[in-house]
Amino acid sequence: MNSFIIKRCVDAAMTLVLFLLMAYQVTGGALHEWLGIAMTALVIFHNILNRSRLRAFGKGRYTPYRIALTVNDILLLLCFFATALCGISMSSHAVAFISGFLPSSVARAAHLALSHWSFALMGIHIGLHLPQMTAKAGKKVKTALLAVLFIFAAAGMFLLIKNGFFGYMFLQTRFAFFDYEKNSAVVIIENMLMLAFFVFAGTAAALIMKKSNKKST
Amino acid sequence: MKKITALIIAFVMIISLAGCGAGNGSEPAGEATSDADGSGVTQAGGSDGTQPAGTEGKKILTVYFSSANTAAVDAVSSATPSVKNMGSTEYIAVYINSKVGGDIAKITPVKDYPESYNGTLDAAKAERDGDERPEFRNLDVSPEDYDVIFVGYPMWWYTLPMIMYTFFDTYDFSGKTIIPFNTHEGSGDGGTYNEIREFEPDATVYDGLAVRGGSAEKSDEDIDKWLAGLGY
Ligand SMILES: Cc1cc2nc3c(=O)[nH]c(=O)nc-3n(C[C@H](O)[C@H](O)[C@H](O)COP(=O)(O)O)c2cc1C
Repeated sequence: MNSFIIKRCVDAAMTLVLFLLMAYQVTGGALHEWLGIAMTALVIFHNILNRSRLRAFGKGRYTPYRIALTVNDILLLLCFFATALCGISMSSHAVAFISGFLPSSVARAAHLALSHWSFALMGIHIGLHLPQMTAKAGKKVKTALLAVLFIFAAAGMFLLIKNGFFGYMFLQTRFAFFDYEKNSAVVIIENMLMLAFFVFAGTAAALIMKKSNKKST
Repeated sequence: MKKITALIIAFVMIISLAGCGAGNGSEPAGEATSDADGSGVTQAGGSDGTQPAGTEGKKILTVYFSSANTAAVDAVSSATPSVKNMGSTEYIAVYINSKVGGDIAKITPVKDYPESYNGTLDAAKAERDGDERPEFRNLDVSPEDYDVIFVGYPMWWYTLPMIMYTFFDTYDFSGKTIIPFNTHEGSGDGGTYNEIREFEPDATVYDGLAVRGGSAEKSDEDIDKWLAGLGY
């Protein structure tokens, strides 16, 4: 099978799992843990599929865009695996047999904050790569995509603030709020819109850096 | 380039607009409604100022659990209640008791929780994972003798502290009115009012009030409003 198709399928699966992981009140604890394990496997697979990038690390010229990609990758990997590690330590279902190697108070606080950092960094990660993924599309299509993304991102910004997203990132809110009255579909859609904000931020940054890169060369 | 810049400027404007709507301390659970048995019966405090029938002449108890190791009597008699020398749930309990009258009692564990916050967190997690029922000391009152019971607790690991499970296991509140309230640091009531409905299927359990522990001292107005809605 075409490796391009496999890569896109893995990417789509990761995005879907991400929305579900960020909807704990929809999935419940047990499924949340299995989804976390699935995500860990997908992240590892994603890195194997894109190993050429890993091999190129430190070689060639580092444009601002490439620096942004690299910094984002490193932070994302650190945040994600730290989140996973804390999650495993708190497990009471899927991998309960290896849990408990971190104090649960520390694991809980770190898992909550770092999962939100990971969410934001994943959005930016998608955004930074979006110009490459849509490189073959026509100019009109690109502009339309960007406009739609912008509208979603604007809605996402409202939701990020309404849901106190940044309070979790910066440990202002130490426990997650699960609104069990909220419809499951609404929870997932809100997650999509919130991710759109970070995707847009990443894309905007990528486009600006690419433009200024072209000018300077 | 221009297009992108315009988009970003528009974005920054939206962000600053959205910023105005942010920030909230406590989440009053809105209308005090109760439909414990799914019968569709809703009991709401009169929004037009009328009192729900029969709040008078009823025996009221405020009973609560709070992590601070102080006695309720001390808390009540201290001239200016403050969360410095009492837990935030305790602070709210004392305030509610001062408004609605009746008696107040504190649920005190037989085995103290660790002094440190993190120590308590770990101990509480172990209790929850083990589905334990930690014992509490004899209350000075018998809760079943009261008609209306305000029950207060902090959120612990996204649910009621396990000692509250012991509390609801110990007493049968059939036919009584339970009005829960809780403190938290983010998770609101976390569905605990519905949990209490499951523990006490034959009691009328109101939707309670969830208060941020950190802003307990600033929540007097919210509590007043909530109590007024209940007819107190
Ligand atoms: C063991 C423990 C577990 C907690 N779990 C939660 C939680 O799941 N959600 C939440 O919002 N706050 C949680 N908190 C924060 C407390 O609910 C909050 O600080 C509360 O105001 C404490 O009340 P108190 O001072 O009366 O004990 C927890 C605190 C402790 C000590």
